[in-house]
Amino acid sequence: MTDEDSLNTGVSALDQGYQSCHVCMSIAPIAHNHCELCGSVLHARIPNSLQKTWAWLITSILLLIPANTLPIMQTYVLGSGSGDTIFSGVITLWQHGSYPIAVIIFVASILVPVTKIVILITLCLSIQFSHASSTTEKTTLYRLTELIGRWSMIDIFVVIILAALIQFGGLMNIYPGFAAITFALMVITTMLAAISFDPKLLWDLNQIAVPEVKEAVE
Amino acid sequence: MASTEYIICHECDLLLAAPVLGIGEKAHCPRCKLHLSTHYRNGSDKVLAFASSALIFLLASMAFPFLGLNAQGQKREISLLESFDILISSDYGILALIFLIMVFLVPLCSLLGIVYVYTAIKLWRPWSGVKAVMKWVTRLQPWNMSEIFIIGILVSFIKIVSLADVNLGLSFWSFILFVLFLNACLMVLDRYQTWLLLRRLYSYD
Ligand SMILES: [Zn+2]
Ligand SMILES: [Zn+2]
Repeated sequence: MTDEDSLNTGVSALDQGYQSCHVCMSIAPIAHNHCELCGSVLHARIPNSLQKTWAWLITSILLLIPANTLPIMQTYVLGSGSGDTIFSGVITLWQHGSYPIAVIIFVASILVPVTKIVILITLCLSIQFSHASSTTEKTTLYRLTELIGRWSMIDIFVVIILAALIQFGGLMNIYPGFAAITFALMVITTMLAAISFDPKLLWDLNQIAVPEVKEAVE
Repeated sequence: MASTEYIICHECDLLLAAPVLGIGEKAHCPRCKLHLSTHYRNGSDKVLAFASSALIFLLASMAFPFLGLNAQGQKREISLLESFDILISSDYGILALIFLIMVFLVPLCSLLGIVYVYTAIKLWRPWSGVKAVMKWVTRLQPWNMSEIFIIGILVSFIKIVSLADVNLGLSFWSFILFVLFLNACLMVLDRYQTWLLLRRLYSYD
């Protein structure tokens, strides 16, 4: 068993038989299953982190296809309806000269989800192929996905607000399109992918690649 | 026994000596630079004050018209609660649910939880369920999207301003204040410092 007196700071905790609670940050030996302070289930690494991340990523890619090809919003003027996809909506806004809004929607609805999925795929692959370089940069990319992911929901809220507001009998009505649902689910699944991903796995590789750091302390 | 002498960076797994922070000091992980903790001056008082204010403005934002619209001689005014009804009645129940959870229920439950936990800390009473509530407050955070909803309102506002006269109701301003106070509250709510206080409150040391 590990003894707390022999713990070394500046070294991976798992290598020394310790883990921390992901809720309250208390530390405990890896043999413990539950946190003494808050009662949460303890694990040194998120169990099956890569498999879960891949599963959510594949789901989000599958949802991204209908989200971009089906109408996200249906506009009915005097009974005749027309649908707008995310991309055609951005084009229309641009043509009407609403450049800032076109840019906001393009970034939030197209650029952010695609970037987030690409980053998470890169991080998963680098762990699977034990590619240990530039861990600091990879951690920064991971934090970026956590930070930007939620902002993709902007367009969904726009559709919700317009659908609630623009209800003028037969004159003009706006309804959400089916893509609004698949897009919202896509945002949720990419967030679940980011939550399932354990950034500690990136640093685990780093230590395998530089064994002398560990030996020097032992 | 659980130790308070060490902490582990939750992004890179580095074992570190537990930071002993003076007022206004911050701790970062030396390896991955993750922010670990900040000791705010009167942190508990600020958390409680911001959370209560946010809660009041959230409840007030339910009571009045949110957005008003004037187009082709027709007037419309909707409150936040009416907008749920419209979504549910137009067969988009899932959207209504996502909207309800991420914009209202998650912030509402988080704020009620924070007020409960920090009242227990303030009065130094080890009430039942405080630790479980704090655990859920932490877990709910990624799903709070109230500030994104505000950007959504502004974008919709600009989109329809050419079609109709739009006016922002009293609820809209109340909602803005709610989001400001909520974010101020979450900023001064330091997870590590909170659990240090709870550890002492439940005499784990
Ligand atoms: Zn814990
Ligand atoms: Zn770190």
